[in-house]
Amino acid sequence: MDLLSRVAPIAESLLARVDSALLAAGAPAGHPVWPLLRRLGTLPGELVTQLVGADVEALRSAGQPLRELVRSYVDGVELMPGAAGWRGDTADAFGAQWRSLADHLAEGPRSLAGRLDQTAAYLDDVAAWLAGARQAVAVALVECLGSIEAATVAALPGTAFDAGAAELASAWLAAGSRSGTPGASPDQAIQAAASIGAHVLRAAAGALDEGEDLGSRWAGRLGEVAFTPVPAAGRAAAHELALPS
Amino acid sequence: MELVDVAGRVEQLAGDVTQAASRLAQADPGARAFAADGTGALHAIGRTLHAQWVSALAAREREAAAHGARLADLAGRLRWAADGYQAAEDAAHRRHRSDAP
Repeated sequence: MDLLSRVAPIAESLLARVDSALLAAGAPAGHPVWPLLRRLGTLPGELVTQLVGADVEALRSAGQPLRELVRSYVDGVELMPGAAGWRGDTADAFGAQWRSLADHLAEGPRSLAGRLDQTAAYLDDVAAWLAGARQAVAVALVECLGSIEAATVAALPGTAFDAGAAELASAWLAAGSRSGTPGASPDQAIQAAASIGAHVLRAAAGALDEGEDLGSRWAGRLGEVAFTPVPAAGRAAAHELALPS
Repeated sequence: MELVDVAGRVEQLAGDVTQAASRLAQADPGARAFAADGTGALHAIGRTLHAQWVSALAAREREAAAHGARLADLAGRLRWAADGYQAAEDAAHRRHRSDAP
């Protein structure tokens, strides 16, 4: 269980309020949350809920069968014995064919084994990226949970966020008068929610940059590798094997 | 090792490689594991990364299926050659026995 799995349930209520505040009242003009909302296209609470569902361990495990296949391909070639006492042009031609097939199966990065290994490495990179994204967002959440802004947002009654900005303001003022909190205002609540949202989304934006880099770095590297057969002169067809009786 | 045994080993390898294709088809942990099933840009990149994985996996499947067939073809040729050698050897034995005084 990583940090996000532990923190997300604790932050759920705060994030629900932040999402509701952003939906109901928006954010102050020029607030850093605006470009982040535009870039990420999702509210902070929604983003965290969806990120919690991503399964890093499943990604790490998925590479295992690929690596087992790499070993089986390499072993299949290395353990292949030669045919005792088989000599001559036909044996040489079949030897060349076998070498060509064996190389394509298990020799170097442009072999089937090489490509499988690279595909598993890609999955490792994606898992590392996702683990990093989860960690970054989790750390941002931890920082938010202990902030003054979180206390400000938490002071509002949950029902206030179901309404528009005017009602949010009324609800906030009412809550402020009941709790005796001095100096509180709807603007502060909206500002606090926007700041929390920006802090979470900023962490996600960093992860987005890294994810885009990862996608670009691997683009075109995992395509199908073509087999190049040995030249016709070096091949032996079955009919060439007719032996003198 | 006799030629017919080598043919058998190549045949077995061909079967293993062909089977690998179907094993690979089951290796996808699904879009959700990649954070690819949500809304917004972060999940869009998750979808892109998942699509790259699915595409790579499909390429590995095709490679394995095609190469399994090539190896099976070589195994068939080896078996054919082994049978030919065996027939030639049997004929030589028969000639040797009939030539004997």
